[in-house]
Amino acid sequence: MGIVPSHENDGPPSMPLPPPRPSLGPRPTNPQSASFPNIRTDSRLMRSVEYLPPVKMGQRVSNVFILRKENIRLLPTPSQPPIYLVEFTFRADVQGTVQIYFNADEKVHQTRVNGQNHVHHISYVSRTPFDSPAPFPAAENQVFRQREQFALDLANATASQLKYSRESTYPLVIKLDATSPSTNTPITSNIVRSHITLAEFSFADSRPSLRVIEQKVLIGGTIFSMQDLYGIRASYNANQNGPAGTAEDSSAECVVCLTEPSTTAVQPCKHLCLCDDCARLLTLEVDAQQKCPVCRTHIGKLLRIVDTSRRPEQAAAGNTVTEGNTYAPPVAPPPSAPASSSWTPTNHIQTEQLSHPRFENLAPSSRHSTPPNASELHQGSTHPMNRYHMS
Amino acid sequence: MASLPKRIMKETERLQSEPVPGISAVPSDSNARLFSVVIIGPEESPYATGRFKLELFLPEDYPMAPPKVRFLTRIYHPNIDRLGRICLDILKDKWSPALQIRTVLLSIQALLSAPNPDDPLNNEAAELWKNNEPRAMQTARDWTKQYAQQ
Repeated sequence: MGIVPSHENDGPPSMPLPPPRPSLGPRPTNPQSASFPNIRTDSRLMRSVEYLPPVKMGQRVSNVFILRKENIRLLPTPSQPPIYLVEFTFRADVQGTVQIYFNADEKVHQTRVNGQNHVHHISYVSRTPFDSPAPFPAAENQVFRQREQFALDLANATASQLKYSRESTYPLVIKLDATSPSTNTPITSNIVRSHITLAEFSFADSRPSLRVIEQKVLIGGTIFSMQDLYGIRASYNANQNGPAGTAEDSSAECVVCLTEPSTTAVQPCKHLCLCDDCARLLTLEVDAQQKCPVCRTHIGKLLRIVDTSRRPEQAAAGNTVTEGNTYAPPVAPPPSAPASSSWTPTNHIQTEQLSHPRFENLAPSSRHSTPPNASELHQGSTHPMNRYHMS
Repeated sequence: MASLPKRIMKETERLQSEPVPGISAVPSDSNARLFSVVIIGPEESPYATGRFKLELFLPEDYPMAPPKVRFLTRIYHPNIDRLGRICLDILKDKWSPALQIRTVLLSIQALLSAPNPDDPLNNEAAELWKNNEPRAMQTARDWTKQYAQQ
């Protein structure tokens, strides 16, 4: 079996990507034949680190809601014992509403438009009482604080209500919905409809704290999972200014060859620091260390950023942000989970991934025609969720 | 010999154009992978005022493999042996291809400021460092005067 065990904390277990991975081929007779840095893939050497479905750079979508994980907190009330209110600071460029749910189930509402699934909204159903949507204006640095009567009774909550697992509901959902422009806009237009933060609770020193499981945005009819990457801005700028070699900003270069622009991010540590060739070199070689060159974290997966803006013939093939992406819910705590967390999601995912009700009809079944580039990128992946960066 | 990887050319260029204070590294005329290095002993250390010569060699699989670095100047240090070999994690298992000639030499310079007698390569020096640090420092100063002045 060529699939390498999924490294912990890095999201879905290894899934076959094209080309299918047979077992590791024999060691090349002369390892030096892959002369650095212009290594070419030897067909006998197979990929031992999985690539995530790549991000396509070149269509940046401005996100109208900025809610950073670190700006979400639990605020204790003065009462004894204290109850905890969800509070967060955020920025909104449009008007909207905020809603908070505890122990909620997710429901994705989709319609088929031109043979393609479009999500028009995501709703959450909670068995605990929840407040009605609270309106907010378009403003920076707004603070939202939950009303006391809707605070979750954390002291009496069960472990399954506090911790996320694939069988459980989402312990905490923060949903920001845009109310302008109105919801009448066509589903295919590229507007941000919802911004969702899924979180769970953890207790350290008997104080509860929040840990964000995932953040995602619904843009047009597509759900994007948000990931932070270190170095994406430098990389983007360098791509705009030509090859990294000519750019002043050396942080956009691949840290290994110091020549090519960095296009590949290491997961779970999120360092965007490698070019395609060096990423292969670091992971393909039989005795390769498979560690992030920046922080030495084990390379769980690789995420390529494909700059479609530099390939006009392919970018012209369609609106590649939404094309080819059906929605699949998170199959595991996403790679954005802190490396220090105690997630060990591998077991139950492997056994339940396909039978879980949340996954019904969600696999990208018969795929419509895609631009050549996109099909190369997505084909065969059961987790086609686009990675979308915002910072 | 195979052509020189761009990375090595770039590093060489940048070492000349943006030199590190107290460190110089110049490639040999006959072998672009072999560098003559001089590290000035850090102030506040027993190696202050010393000029320590080293050689640094970039093996064929650099930067996947660490450079080979060796002191040519004799030095009294618990982590550097008689042959000039250096006990430093980033030159062995903690090597990362994101490190460069520049960062390696900075690490060696830092090692001169912070000897680590608990991970010795020169056992005799390490023992003295642990049992009688003032005397060990004096010996290091003496050696610096004796061997590291040119």
